[in-house]
Amino acid sequence: MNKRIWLVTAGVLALVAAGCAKGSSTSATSPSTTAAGPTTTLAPQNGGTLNIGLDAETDGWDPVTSEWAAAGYFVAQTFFDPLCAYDAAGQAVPYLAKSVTHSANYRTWTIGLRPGIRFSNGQPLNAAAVVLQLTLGKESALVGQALGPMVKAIAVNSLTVKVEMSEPWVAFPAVLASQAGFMAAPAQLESTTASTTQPIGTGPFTFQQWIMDSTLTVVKNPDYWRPGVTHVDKIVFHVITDPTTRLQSLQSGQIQFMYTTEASQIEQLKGQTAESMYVQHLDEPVFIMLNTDAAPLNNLALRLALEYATDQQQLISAIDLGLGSVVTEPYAPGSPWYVPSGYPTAANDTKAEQLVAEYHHETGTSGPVKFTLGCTSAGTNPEAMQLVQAQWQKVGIDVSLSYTEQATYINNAIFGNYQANCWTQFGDIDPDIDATWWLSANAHPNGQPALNFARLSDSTTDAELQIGRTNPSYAVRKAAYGAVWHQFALEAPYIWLGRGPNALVSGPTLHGLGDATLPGGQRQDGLDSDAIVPIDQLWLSS
Amino acid sequence: MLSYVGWRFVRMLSVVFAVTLFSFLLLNLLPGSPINAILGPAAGDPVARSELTNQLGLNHPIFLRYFIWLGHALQGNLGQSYVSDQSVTSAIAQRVPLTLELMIMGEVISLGIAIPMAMLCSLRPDGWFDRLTSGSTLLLLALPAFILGPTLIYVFAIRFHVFPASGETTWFTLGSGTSPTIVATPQSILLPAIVLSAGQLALFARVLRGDLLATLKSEFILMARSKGFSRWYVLLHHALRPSSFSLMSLVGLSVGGLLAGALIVENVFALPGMGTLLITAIEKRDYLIVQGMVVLIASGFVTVNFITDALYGVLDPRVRRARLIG
Repeated sequence: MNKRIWLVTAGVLALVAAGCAKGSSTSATSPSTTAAGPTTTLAPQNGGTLNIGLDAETDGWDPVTSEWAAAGYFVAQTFFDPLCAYDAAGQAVPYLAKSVTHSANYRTWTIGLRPGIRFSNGQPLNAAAVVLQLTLGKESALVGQALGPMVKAIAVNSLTVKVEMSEPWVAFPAVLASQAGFMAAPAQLESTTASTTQPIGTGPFTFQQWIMDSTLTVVKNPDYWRPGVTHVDKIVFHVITDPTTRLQSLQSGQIQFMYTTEASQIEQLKGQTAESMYVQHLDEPVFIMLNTDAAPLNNLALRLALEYATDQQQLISAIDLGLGSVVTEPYAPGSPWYVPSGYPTAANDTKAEQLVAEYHHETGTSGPVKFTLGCTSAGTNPEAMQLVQAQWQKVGIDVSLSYTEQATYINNAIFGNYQANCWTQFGDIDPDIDATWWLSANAHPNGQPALNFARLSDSTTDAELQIGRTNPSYAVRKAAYGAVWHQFALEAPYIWLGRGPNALVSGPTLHGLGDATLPGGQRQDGLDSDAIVPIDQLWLSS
Repeated sequence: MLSYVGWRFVRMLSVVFAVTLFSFLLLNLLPGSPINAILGPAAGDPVARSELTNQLGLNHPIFLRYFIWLGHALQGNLGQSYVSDQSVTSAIAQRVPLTLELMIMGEVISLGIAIPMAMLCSLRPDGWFDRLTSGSTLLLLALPAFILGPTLIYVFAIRFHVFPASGETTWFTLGSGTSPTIVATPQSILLPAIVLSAGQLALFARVLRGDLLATLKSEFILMARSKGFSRWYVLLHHALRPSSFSLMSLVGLSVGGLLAGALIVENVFALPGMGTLLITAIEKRDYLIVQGMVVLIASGFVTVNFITDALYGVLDPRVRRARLIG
């Protein structure tokens, strides 16, 4: 299903940002996840202005305090470099850092920096700059979430930083590949007036102008520490929130690159020859989150009944025009974190009815089960929720639909003021980043703010999440997360609805998508995972 | 006359004051909060919530916050955006020129087409032009901006490449630095202005036509015609002015309509105007931006209506006399 429609876009998703959103991370120990994207055999041409259409504006460019969703990462990667980035094997490898190593117990990490790199204002990229950013990040309400186990960062010498953790943390490089690891100049971070509006980084482009809600312009950095990798002279990002207008801007030649989550546009573009389209298969699922601390959904039989009463395939056909896929856990088949969970892949009304009867028996009730299913009214949400309502009605579950605008919607989830809400989250490149949302310690009673919105307390889940955070073995971690997905299927805090399409669309003159390289020359990841889609090395043909 | 203007001015100020007070209270009574909008799900962390609440000053009682805001506002300081930390005054000032351009161009297009159209219709009521106008204005009234906009983009941007599909082209900038205020070229906002003007145009034309027809039945018109003046001369010099009261009221009131229309049109055409700022601010619960916009819109609205009231006197000597006597 269309990611944006389901809820909550930037705010929620991005945020997850705290650690991740797009651009999150992968464990240092995760294996390959994706195939490379489209490539070209043409020789790159230099020059020209690349125009890119974005679906949303970003509230600022301070990697410590701002909140970057997909659109934010598209822009930020042009003037900032991350300390780590993903290779084609899905590994978080050093990028701006020369090395990222750990102690035997993973409680201390050492970041070695490349010598001679300067920010565009002339300040050196040194240990002091990294310490400042990590320290401010840890103190930040947003980024601090991502740096959870970090205790402190210390400069060992001018090019070496030691980071101490409160517990073994194997996924730290993943965080360095996310917003928290995008290095900004100390002058920007310490500015009281321009930290969010005038970004200063070491990136391939330098910031030129930002007209909020309209355009942001960057120009080629002549002193970039990776000479020759960038080709266009200038990139202009255009904020075009209306998806129809964004596509029309591409078709008119006004922009050369955009992305869309609109199934109807993807379907429409399939028949076009002028535009190239790359359909991504990301891991972010859509689901209905159940408040396990509120009646009647505090009853396990009823929650399981919803698993069997939901026909994902029907939703995918009707809402995503058949372009989505069935979901059984936060990750899709093919992901390094996918482990079959035992969640039902098809609807089974008979089984659902039996479970509803079991619910009535346990609670001494009869007649249709009633509760409220909440959603935002964006996009095709109303149609999708009506379809879910009809599916559940067939097995004796009578939900009333409630539409709420986004800010209130999030508030309701935080304070447990809901029974069932449609939601989009999880599936980050490393599951450790999502652990915050699942831990029992964060499942406070209704009325109190909680990060575990479903308020499911489960000791098995906690134990497995701890293994996932601290064990360096990929196989052990994968098994641990597999156990978590299985617990989700057994406890049913989330009723999966599907996974929507997401496509990168380019005009006929744009090339190089999927060809980006890392400083070591190896291919950079980004097209088929939740890593950042690299755009700084794209080029235009005349 | 002076006391009349002074009295109206005092009323204007009290309206603006009341609007600021009620809008501040209502905004703060909205469910959800800037904390949730800024932190997203991370707002579930009590420590993060508490830190941000103190940082934004949201821990103070609502009336105290209002009077702090009012005190600053009277000194020209509308505060800082909760979300971007930008000064509210400068954030709004950056958006005003483009929206004003759009509104003025929309109004000029509406009046420029509606007035001659209504005059032509009134010359031959129920003639072919009148019927055609009646049908087309009905169509324009029924066409929402989100249908008309993409249709015009398809025709003029994709098919004929005459206008840009979205965004604006900078004509010149006000101020300097990395975030200047832009004034767009008329060509780049012509298409959005046409969309914005469509509904108004139809309304103006229909109202003026009706008033003109009523005026043309008056005795003084018969007198003018009997003196041998041509129909066009009579229409232009005798009928148009007394028929334009309703139109003028509509123009004054249409400022609100234009602003509301701008919210949609700016979104469809990806223009960084006041509408876009307001929508984003509401979504993000950026109260101070919304509050600043409310002050500006309310002030603009009452000012335009104040001017409209004053113009009645210019147009109609009877109003002038009544005010003098009063």
